[in-house]
Amino acid sequence: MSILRLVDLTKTFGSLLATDCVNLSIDAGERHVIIGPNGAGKTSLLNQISGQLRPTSGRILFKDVEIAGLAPERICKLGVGRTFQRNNLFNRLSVLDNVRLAVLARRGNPMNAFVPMARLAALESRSVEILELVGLGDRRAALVRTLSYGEQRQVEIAIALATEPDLLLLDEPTAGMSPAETGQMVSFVAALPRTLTILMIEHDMQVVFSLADRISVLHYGRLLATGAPAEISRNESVQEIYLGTAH
Amino acid sequence: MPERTDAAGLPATRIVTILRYAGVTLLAALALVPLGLGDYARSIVAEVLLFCIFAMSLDLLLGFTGLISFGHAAFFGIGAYTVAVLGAQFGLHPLLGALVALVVAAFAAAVIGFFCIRASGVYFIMLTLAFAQLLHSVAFKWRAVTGGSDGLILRSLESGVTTYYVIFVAFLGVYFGLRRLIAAPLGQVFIGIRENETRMRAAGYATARYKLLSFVIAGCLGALSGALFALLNGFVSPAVLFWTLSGEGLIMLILGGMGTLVGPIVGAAVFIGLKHTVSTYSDHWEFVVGAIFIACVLFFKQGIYGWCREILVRGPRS
Ligand SMILES: Nc1ncnc2c1ncn2[C@@H]1O[C@H](COP(=O)(O)OP(=O)(O)OP(=O)(O)O)[C@@H](O)[C@H]1O
Ligand SMILES: [Mg+2]
Repeated sequence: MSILRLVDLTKTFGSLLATDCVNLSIDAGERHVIIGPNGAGKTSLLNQISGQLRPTSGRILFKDVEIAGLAPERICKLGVGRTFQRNNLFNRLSVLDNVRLAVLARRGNPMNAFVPMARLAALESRSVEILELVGLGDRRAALVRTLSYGEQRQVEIAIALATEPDLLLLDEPTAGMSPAETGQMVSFVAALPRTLTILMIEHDMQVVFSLADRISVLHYGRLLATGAPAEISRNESVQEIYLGTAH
Repeated sequence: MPERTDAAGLPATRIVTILRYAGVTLLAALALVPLGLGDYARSIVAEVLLFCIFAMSLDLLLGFTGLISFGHAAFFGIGAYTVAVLGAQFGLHPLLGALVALVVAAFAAAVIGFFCIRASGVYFIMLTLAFAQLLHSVAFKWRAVTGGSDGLILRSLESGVTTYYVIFVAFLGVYFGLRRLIAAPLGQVFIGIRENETRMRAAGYATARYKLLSFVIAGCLGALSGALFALLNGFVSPAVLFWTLSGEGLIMLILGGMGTLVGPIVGAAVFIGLKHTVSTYSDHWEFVVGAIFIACVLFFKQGIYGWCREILVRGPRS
């Protein structure tokens, strides 16, 4: 059963076609990876699904509900969580506060103006639980800006998970990570429960092939091919983009 | 990250203790002001306290929610004029007038905020300024109600000491109330919006709603300071709505340091203090304030309070 369906999705920036009539269906529980050269329109596609960008035309159906053009906060509440390609965090706040804000949105009462946040034990224990899951349990008191780049990537994932999504969008989760960190990230994502659907952009082919159930290839905003990893690696036009036209 | 504890500095817990003792001493001294000071000095302290409320309310917007308003005088003026007009036209007691002022300001802030929140950056600044100037010209032109440029005289409270304590209690209420709010989820959401609005929205917050709420709370408290100003002065003129007052609020925040509650208090005290001391020696007090302001912007970006805290943490070098 499909959880996400893109129908004739199109996004233009002036004369530039960032998303060119994309049709794609993602099954519940699937690990779907989008690949494609720089500037292919991968991030733009994700931004339309999570609401940061408004599509020019076409439809986005999440659990059969039209979400194209909705505000990001509405889409988040419906169950779409995401990380950003470039770390997009609360840099001057602690690791705990970063995650706790997301937990508050989902499980707490953000309008509460009287009880100190630090005294709301349920929010804190839930946040710590998520931080331990991503391996940042002992870093909770640190300010995010003092973390290593790789650790900040983990905070990205922690915040996304704290929104309790059914569909998780990951924009190059391993970008800028050391090989060791990349390995950890791969096993972390692989271990996430299958109740969660993952749509992920990734450049590192080793990561792609160890996680993907299916792969989609974007090129100049167009969906060139979608299929199982083995099909994609045999696909000629894909080989051409990655080998042929390289200069 | 453990708090820095350089040899020259003090551990964080000691600093908190020191600041807490300083705060308690200050509050005790403020409570005793009417016993120790004459009428004039007492009214200056009262003026400082009500401008502390003004600066703290502006800081909720600027320092905590990240919304740079250049029209906060609108609410100060709404507070002052509500008390004055209701007193002059209907004989309403000024303290009741102050309560009505809060309600009026809440409505006004909801309407003004509704339009301003839609804009961001420079457009937000200009819109807030425009609304405030609009109200200024209303106060100026609508002579039948506001007295125009002559202003309005209003009945004062029984005694200057009573007025002082009303202002002092309001100051305590606003300070401790805001402290509560900022530590609570709502305040943390404001801070989240200041730090990264895109991320807040992606985490499920309808940030426009929270920004409007911050605008309304700040507007109400700004109106409270204006109402107290009317009470203390016994006279209200269109100057309470002029853009220079909005600018003075911003200067107080930058002088004292924004994003804390003590910063605006320090800034308001320094600003009003300078205004009264320097203006007795020369007509150019604005020049002195301007020079200090420039020094703050250039050398202590955290303001005076932020700088003091830094010295306590780092020790007295550089
Ligand atoms: N807000 C925008 N305004 C105008 N053009 C944009 C905007 N965002 C993206 N683009 C353009 O759209 C195209 C697709 O960009 P996008 O960021 O989606 O690519 P990408 O596949 O994520 O690339 P990368 O691998 O470098 O992250 C690029 O040519 C980019 O310059
Ligand atoms: Mg990208």
